[in-house]
Amino acid sequence: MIKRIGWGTLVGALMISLGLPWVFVLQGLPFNLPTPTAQLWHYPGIASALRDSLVVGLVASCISLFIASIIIGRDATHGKPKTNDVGLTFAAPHLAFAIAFLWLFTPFGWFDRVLPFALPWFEQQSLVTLITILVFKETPFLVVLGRQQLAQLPYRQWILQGRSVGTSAQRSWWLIVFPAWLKAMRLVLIAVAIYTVSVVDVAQVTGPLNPPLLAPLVVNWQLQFDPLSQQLAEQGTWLLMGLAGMMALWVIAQELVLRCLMSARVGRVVAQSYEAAVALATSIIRRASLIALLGVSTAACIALIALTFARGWFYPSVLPLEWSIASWSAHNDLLLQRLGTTLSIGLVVAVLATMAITALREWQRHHRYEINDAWLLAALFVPQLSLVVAWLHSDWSQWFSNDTASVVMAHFWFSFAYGYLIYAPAERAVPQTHLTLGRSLGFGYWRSWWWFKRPLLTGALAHCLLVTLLVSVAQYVPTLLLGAGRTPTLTTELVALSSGGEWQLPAMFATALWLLALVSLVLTQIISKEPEL
Amino acid sequence: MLVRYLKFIVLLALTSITAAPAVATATKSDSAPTVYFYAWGGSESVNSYLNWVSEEVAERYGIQLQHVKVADISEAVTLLLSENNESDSKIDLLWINGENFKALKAAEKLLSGLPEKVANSRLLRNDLNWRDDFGEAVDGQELPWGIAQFQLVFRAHVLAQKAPPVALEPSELLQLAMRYPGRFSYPKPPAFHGTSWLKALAYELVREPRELQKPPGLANSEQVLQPLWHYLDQLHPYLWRSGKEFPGSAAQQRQWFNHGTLDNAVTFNPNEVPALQQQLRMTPAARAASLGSRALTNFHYLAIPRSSGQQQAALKVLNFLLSEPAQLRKSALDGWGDPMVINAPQGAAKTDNGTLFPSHEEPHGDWTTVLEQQWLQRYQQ
Repeated sequence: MIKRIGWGTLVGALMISLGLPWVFVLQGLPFNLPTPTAQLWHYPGIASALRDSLVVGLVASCISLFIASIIIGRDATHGKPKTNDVGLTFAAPHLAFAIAFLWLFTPFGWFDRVLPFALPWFEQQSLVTLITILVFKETPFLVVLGRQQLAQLPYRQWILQGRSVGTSAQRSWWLIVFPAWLKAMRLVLIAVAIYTVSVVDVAQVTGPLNPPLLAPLVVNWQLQFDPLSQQLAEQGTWLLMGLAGMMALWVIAQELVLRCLMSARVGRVVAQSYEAAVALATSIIRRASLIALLGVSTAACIALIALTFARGWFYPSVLPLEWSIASWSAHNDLLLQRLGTTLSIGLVVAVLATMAITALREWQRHHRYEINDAWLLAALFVPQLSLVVAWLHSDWSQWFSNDTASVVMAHFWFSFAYGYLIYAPAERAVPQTHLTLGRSLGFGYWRSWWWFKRPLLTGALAHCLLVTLLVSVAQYVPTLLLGAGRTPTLTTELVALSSGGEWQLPAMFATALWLLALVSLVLTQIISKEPEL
Repeated sequence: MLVRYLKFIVLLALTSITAAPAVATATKSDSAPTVYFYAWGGSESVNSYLNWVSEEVAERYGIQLQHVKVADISEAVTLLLSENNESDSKIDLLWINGENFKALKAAEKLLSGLPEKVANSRLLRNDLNWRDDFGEAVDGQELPWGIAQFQLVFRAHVLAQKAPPVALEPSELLQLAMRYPGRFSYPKPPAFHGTSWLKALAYELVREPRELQKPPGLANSEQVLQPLWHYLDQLHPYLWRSGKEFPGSAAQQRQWFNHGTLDNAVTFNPNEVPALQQQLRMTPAARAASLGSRALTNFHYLAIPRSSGQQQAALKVLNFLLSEPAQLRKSALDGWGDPMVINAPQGAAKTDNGTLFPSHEEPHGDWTTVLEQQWLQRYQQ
């Protein structure tokens, strides 16, 4: 039946399912632009909010890219890359990591209590703390996805070619491989840059509040119901979209500048001492970064686990008044229920999204027609709460009257964009010759794909599954509002519990989320190591 | 191959969804009505109390009560305001007050005539002025569930020379802030507790506190509030981060208080300090104080959406929540510790003895916006 319908029809259905939410957005999102005379510009502190959002976006994404490039550069020049050196940090849920980080590294925090000397700790609600936490979270994301993109490039031959003309491996990385890697990473970098300016939960917990960054400000307005706040929310949404667009342009400009700089240096002779100094500096930065990532993540993970057993842990005590498993035993049923729902929805979404992405890429390759990525990734350009509120005010609920279906659809939509980001560049790097060969042997299209092309994309598919699963797991606003509370997950529970002034129960759910992500990452890495044909 | 692949996916999807216990629970309401109760989920004590309520209403009435935990009840209000259907709302019962109630009332989203429909409303205390919610007439669209009174919490050494009950005049608070620079703060308005702090201070500082009971005039609001802003100008340099940055909420400030970052916190639960100390959730070195001799007092309420498909069941739950056993359990200090809004049953100890201060009513509702906007104009740059 499906064969008769043809996968073109399936792709058509997919495009409708991707496009339909936009129709609902247009239906529900008021067209209230932040024109020069708009009320938004009179809001106290709006200039600071905009400036700080830009600073966070630019600084966090630049530092993350810099550190990730150095780590990946070492991978490229020193044989087989390690696969699990950043796994613990990568798997950490943003909010959980932020909570543990603040508990450990702020003034009066645990390390401040233990150490006999004062250090310049990270201040609560500060730009520096927010940027640091974002760098800690984004760098492993770039490293994990960067390694996957690197694997699609013939970088070993390129470095070999460089060395054959007397260029060191490290210099070959920066001048030959890095520009190509950077281009392959463009979409990932855009997504990361946009995330840094539109992040809400971590920004609220760790970033400045007076004024807040633009994204939390828009969310605050969205959740107030007087006419002025609603108007500010509408204009703020468009401003945030503009900011996201600026970040995308910044990433493209940054790529062009870096590529020009690198190509201008090709063929230049440099002193050996200079090269040795650069090698030493990058080695130190790489080691220090990896130690910091591993050390801070391990400490944060241990702190979270300890908090789940601690009762009465107050300043200035180094240890709690009591250790107890009471919280675990009292809430294990709830935890397992939420885990079950989270995993069920996450797996369905991950599999559906990965399948849809695969079909869409194959359709494009088969028809030699490339849909502009911007259309497929547009979900990443709009603040999520604005999208969901727009859907609530549209006919969405008439189309998706079942709460679980509604949640799955929303998760699918957001996950699709991230999954495409991971899979598309990898798929583009794989030639169709293997598939054509399979077809010439008499296999059907998908049978050929399965036996001849899929093995070349095992890593990309596994990472696509991983990222779409993690995106689904992390959803709060769509799960709560579109699911109307009928599908409570680990994340909805964690966010609700974190809104109080307590540590123990939020730490339990944060630990569970972290473990879930870690196990998924380990499984991904095991799958990715499958022998390739 | 594609067909097999698709079959596998569909099978996996079905298996996963049916295996999810929570999802499955949501669909097993064929026999017992399910009431979806949207309530803030940030407190373990409140969540445990609602678990107990769920068990009780299941046993007494065969009703399944699902506590839908939200980080901010505005999220539920957003959902309710977006619903167009006249029946079968996703929400059956809500825990709200203030601005959220005002928005829902204005949109005519709430069931009215609750005092007549809920038998236990006759138990409500007559000495409580619960018929105005932040200056908005309740009009039978919500019933009080608990008493909220704005109080300050300090580390004990700060109040060492004060005998309980401690009532601090604003000038004394300023002196304390000068003695302990960088150790005090307050939640940033327009956070609920931040705006309440401004209201409480305004009552103590403005020349004619009765002015706050009337709607603010455009011309005179600046003049009325001038003493408040003058006071904050003096206080801010001695606050945490010199009054340039603030905690985002009362919950966050309580975390910082326990963490050691600050020496003060704020609360709207008059029993919070003893209750949380008993549960090892607040440092033993904490003492409550009132700002001035009277404390800003209001109520938190329960309401039922007009379009709830489970109105009768929701009314039964509401009735139970106002019953003697439910109110007694709610006020127990080893649990939530929220004072009762009904007359204490004979023989039962009053749980708010010594923790409730004489009260100030909420100012007229329109002052909320004025206070928030003027504060933002002055201190958020």
